Amino acid sequence: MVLTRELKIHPSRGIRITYHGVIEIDSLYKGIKEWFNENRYDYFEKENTEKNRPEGNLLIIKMRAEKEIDDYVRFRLEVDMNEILRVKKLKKGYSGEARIIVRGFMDLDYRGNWKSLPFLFYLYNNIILKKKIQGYYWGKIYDEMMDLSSFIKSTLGIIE
Amino acid sequence: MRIDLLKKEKIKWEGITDFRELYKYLKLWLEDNGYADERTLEKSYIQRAKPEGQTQLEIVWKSKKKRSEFFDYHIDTTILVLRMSNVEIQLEDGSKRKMKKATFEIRVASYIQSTKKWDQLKGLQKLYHEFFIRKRIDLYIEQLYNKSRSYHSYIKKFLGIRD
Repeated sequence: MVLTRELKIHPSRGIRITYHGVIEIDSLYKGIKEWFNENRYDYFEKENTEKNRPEGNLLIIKMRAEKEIDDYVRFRLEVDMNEILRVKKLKKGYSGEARIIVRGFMDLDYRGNWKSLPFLFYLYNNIILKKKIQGYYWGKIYDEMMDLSSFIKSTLGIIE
Repeated sequence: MRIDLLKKEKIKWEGITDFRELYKYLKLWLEDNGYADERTLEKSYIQRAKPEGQTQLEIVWKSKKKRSEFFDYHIDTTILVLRMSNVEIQLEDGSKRKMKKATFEIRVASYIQSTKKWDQLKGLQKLYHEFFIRKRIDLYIEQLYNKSRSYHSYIKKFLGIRD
């Protein structure tokens, strides 16, 4: 495997979680933010859309978080609640359909110090640092991504 | 030198809100936090009349706060209002209040920008400053990140969007 500037940790197009039922949206949303905070990620919100519809609201929330591990490696996690449809308020929580995608990335040389030295960058990643990237860093971000995914599933009440 | 923090983060709300109050309080937030000057904040205000009495608004604000002789904080706000129409709602006390029904889209971007003085530094002077200012830049990043997140949350709370 050739190590490039941005490495995808997630499988295929991301870890997809689909749920239909009672959703505690507020606790899910706040819970994910707290998860990022507890795991020392800087949180960014790419999009937060809410549309009122007669059949129930539509929510689109795109959450982004990044953590600088050292001067060279940065972890990034993305949670896209692409469509939370037909959201209707119940006595407790909301009912609706949720489609959530979790993605993880590892950025190498995120400060761009090696941008003008592509060949050395290639050598450094694929020979000198390869073992550490594949052994240490990869394992860490993968575990965090799976932990986040498990957290989301448990908040939704999905048994793993 | 430019360090981007919030990259055009989008808040979109389709419903009813008091747009005049939203406009006023966002401006006040920026002014109270030292980012805005009434005269220089608004770069663009475009209002277009649309069919069926609806209005479209495009507003661009660019606000800046001087942090040091070498760096400035910037918070840019873009407000897009589509299909805006007047509505009247009845409050709990029975009185009526004029509001606006529309799709409101607000994008917030924040970044640290070096000043001309920094860009003019050369040779050993530049090395010296880069070495000593590195930790300070981390502090600046944290400060602007917290401030712009706070502004972002303020907008969401006003619109009633979860935060």
